Amino acid sequence: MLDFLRRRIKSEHAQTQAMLSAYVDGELTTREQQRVEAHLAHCDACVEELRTLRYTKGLLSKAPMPQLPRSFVVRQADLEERPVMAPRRGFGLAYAYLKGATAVIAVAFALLVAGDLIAQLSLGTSGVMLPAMAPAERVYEGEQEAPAESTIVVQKAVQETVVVEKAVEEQVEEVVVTKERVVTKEGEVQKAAIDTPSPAVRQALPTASLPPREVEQQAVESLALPEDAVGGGAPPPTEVAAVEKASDADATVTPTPLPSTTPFPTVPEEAASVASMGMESRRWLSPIRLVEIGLGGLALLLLTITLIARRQQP
Amino acid sequence: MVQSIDEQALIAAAQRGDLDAFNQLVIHYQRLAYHVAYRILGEADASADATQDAFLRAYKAIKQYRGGSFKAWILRIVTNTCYDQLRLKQRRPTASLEALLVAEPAPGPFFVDQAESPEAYVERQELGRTLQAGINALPPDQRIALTLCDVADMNYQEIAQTMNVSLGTVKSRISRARAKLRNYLLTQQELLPAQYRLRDDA
Repeated sequence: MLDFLRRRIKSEHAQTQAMLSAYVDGELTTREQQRVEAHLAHCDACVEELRTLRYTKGLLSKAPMPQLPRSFVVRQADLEERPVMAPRRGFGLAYAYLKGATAVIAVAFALLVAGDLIAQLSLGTSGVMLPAMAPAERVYEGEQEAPAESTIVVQKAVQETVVVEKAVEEQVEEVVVTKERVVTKEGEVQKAAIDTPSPAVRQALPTASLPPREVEQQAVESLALPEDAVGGGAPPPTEVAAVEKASDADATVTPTPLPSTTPFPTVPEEAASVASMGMESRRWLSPIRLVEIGLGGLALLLLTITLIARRQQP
Repeated sequence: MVQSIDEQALIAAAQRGDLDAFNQLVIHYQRLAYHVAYRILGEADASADATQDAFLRAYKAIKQYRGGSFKAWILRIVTNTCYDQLRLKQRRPTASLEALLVAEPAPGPFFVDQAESPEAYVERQELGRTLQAGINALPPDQRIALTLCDVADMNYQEIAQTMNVSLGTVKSRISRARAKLRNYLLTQQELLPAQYRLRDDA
């Protein structure tokens, strides 16, 4: 009971002290004023507080002030001159907005690039079949028409894996690994081999990414019409001769066995990523890339302006 | 405050671009504006610059005045200008060489009462210096609130309007500012002339 009363008195004391300054200024409501005065009647500490506050106010009110150094009337000439403070305030505001805009653009750019990278990485590691399928076919068809731009490495090991690789260089190389031995051919032999892809190569390529049913169908077709497969590319006579020469040079070209009708376990991932390199040039022109370039440029521009403005700031 | 002039008519004329009408308002308010600036900034030259700049800004913005207390409106511009100067000072705290060499700023040309003795004049200058040192120790917001209250003699409602804050904020700022200044003055009693010290019977 006594504690409750003590708390109440203490709370009343604190409240009164907080109101004393407003009491001095005559800014309290009638009810607040009555409460303060009731408390002052029995609280010496608050009376002393009130006395010192009144003294402070009185001293400040009667303190001497300096004479006016000059008249502050506005002249027409002052209006034409650039005022000192106004532009600074405007400049400060503009600078603050500039900093904000730079930060927003920079963050947007970083998020976009990060998102794009994550999307690309997840696409590359998940081995999505659908986007890889079309490029793989395109590579295969392109090799018949423009073989000079392609390099094909076909490797068939015990696990029967096929790796398809494309490069920009003219040098082409074909490695055919059979179950018995590995034959490596260089120069014209390689070129000829690619110019006139063997049925094995033709069959092996699509299997890198095609579903089992399509692979099987292609395999059946190549078995049925091997002449078409070889003659399909219509190789020039010189290239045919090169093939013969290669045969003479004991570079035994052993046609690879028929491709397995089951998709290779490790190939699709690599083949997809490698074959999709043909799409890289297109991706560069994709809208997201354009936005990235635009945002990056804008961020750089804003950053430069902000740094210049920072030096100019008063 | 403005009784002898038709303030609203002058404002209306100034809004139409009449510089002379605006200057009549300047003449009327310049002393108050300068004193407020002086208490907030604590330097005579800086206060004069701020006051001049505030009236320039006021003239350019006079069309935005939409009624209400013109005193509150003009002092709002003055305090904003002073606030800018204070921020500028905080950003560039390097004092001038002159200020570094002089330990205490020379007192400004205070009002001189012809009947006042030289001793009384010196004592008043001493009081002014001590008070200003106490005010300079306050945070800008509290300094402005207390100045508007005790120097510009504005009520809390006008101060709230001038500072664009709530009535409660004004109450709190003035209460804290006055308590701090009181504490400072109590520690500086021996520096104050005898007649300005806190007496037991006060």
